[in-house]
Amino acid sequence: MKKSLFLIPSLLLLVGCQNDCKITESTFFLVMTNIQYYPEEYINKEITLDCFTYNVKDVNNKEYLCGVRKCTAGFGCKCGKDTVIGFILNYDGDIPEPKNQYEDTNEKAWIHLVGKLASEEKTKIEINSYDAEGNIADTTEIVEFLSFNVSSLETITDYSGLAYFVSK
Amino acid sequence: MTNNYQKEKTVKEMTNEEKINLYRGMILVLLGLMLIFFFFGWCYVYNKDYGVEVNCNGWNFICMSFCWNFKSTNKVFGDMAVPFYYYAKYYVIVLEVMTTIIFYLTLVLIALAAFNLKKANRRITTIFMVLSIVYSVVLLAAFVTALTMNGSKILPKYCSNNPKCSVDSLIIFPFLLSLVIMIVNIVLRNKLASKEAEQ
Repeated sequence: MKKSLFLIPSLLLLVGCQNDCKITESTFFLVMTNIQYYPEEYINKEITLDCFTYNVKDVNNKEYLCGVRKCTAGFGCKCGKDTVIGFILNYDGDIPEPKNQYEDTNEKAWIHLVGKLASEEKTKIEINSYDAEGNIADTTEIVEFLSFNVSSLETITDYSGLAYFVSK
Repeated sequence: MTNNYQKEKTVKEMTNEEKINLYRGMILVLLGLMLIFFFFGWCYVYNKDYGVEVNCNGWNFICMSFCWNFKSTNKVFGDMAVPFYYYAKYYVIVLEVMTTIIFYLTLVLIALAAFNLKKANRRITTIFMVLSIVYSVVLLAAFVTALTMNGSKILPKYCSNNPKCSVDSLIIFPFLLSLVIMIVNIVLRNKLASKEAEQ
């Protein structure tokens, strides 16, 4: 009883990320989803996360190097097809080239990132749609990514504890 | 003959007294049950293929009433930030206000029921009855508000208009329980009235 009396106010004080935002395996999906919906809440916070590199190519063949993880479409709703959740990376140094980015495997180019959101605004990227067989369809779709100013980047060699696909 | 009448009257009084005690205890137990009903899905997205996709229960709304930060990812708030607040802001705020009223009314009703358990009083049962009517009305309004989220942006945006998805609510059960509480209280009030008349 005494424990629960202390637990409830403590939980209420832990409202999301305070000044720094360390995204862990257990909070990855929840916090990353929240960042996509409410970027203004995270704009000046230092964000730490583990993700893999991923190239997004638009209809004009312009490439955007991102740090992402795979998840279900709709950020939690299982109604649609799988997608990725993450950021476009702004970094002066070298970013590892994506590896097996489309394959359902954990063998990807994993990186540990520290940085801040560049802006609340999302970059709209027009990409080709794919049909059920994975072939490029005649239609296009718009995907939106937040940009992330990376202050520190480390390559992760032991990624056995990390999951390329995240869910609630 | 007089002795027999007295004996019968005493047995009847005892039975009445026992019934009054039973109803007083029952109201308190039912109100305790109501606190458990707060764990039911206040609003949730149900997918016919996958079951419950996202959910907010009554306690999530009660916790929110203490800090009023609808964008928080904290697990004590369930999936309130996304998708509910993001896609159905005003519905969530209305439901939040209603849930807060329901919660504090529950506490007041528990206090009245506990007081009644100590010393049965018809005036208290009258106050209880008025409050329990308000209680049922607010619960019904909360249930309707939760269901009207089907008209928000949750289904077209978050669920991409998937016909297998809908926003549902289990507030109907606490509402039905509130009706039972109200009926038991009316019976108790009548028993107390007949007891007073006999005296």
